[in-house]
Amino acid sequence: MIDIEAAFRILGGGGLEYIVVGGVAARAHGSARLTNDLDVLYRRTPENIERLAATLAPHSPYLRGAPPGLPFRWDAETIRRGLNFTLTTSFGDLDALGEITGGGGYEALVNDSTPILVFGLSVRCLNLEPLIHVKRAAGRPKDLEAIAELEALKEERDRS
Amino acid sequence: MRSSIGSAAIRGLVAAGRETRHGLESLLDLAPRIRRVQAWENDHVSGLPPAVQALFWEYGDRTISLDRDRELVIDRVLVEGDWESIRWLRSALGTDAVRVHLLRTRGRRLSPRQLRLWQVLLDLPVAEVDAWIQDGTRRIWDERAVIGTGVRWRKSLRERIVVSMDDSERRWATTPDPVVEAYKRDVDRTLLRENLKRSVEERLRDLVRFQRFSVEWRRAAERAFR
Repeated sequence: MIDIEAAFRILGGGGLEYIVVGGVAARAHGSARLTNDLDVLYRRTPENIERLAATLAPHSPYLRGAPPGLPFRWDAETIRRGLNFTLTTSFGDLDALGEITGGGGYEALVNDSTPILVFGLSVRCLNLEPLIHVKRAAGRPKDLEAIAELEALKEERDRS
Repeated sequence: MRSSIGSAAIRGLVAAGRETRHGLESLLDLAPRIRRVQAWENDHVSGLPPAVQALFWEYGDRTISLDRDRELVIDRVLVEGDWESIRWLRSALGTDAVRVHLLRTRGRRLSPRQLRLWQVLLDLPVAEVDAWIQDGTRRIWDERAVIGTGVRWRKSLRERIVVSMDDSERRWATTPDPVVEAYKRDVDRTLLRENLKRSVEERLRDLVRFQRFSVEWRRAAERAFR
């Protein structure tokens, strides 16, 4: 489970450039579904990769689902060599994504995201239409219900 | 040309009527049965039930036949068909035939999402479907088909309309998916409407509260059922 407020404070405190995607973004748009992790699309510039490494380092990041004791070093070099990381941290489960299927990277989506003020912080959140698009592009059967709900949300929002 | 089975059946019934002592009355008695045979003929001898025929609206007078246009029919039903059409296809050809067709054609007319659905339903090899979707030549088409044309599909091919969209809309335009549409019918919109009345912060605070509750609830259940 993720402590969303703590996560936003930690990520924002580190000056990280990121966009909230996935279930928390869906919830921000009005979804009624429960989610247990936070998915963020981080900007893959050298400076931001350094920030991501430094911001999460004090919070015990570790590969989710990996056996305990596996050698894993969370630093800028690891992030540069990888792309998408599903992590456990002291503040909960965090997916740090360099790219998302059907959407691409931070630069491709930043103009399709909106800063929202939440918990006294400004957090970029992916807009509803691209959120539906990337969920559909992922093509996972488990997302079908979530996509249906997001499309219904869009209809309700457009109607009101 | 449409055919022989139903027409022969009707001729047989008529002949049977003539042979009875009260020929005309018997013929009148036979009328409902004749109509049933004709209905059966429409549904079966022409090959396609109405729900499937509707998928070929652009073919005009040309008759689409399952025997002659097998590949076209399978692809069209898998891509555009509703559950009724899909059930018909599976009963007409069998699941194995549909599976073999997809393996042979590499699912080339289906979108990645549709391929994932059929991968699950027909137990297609995951690695093979991954390879089809990643294939560079089809990705160009997939992206162009969905994003580039500015064509928005509404409800069915019959109602296809082209509408002007701004760049952002065009970029994220999606085609209605029959599976998603089916799920959408059961979405509790009252919850969504209530959520839409709240601020983003309230929505996220609700999520946090619900997460905490679910953890507590799970712990309580573990204690109770241990």
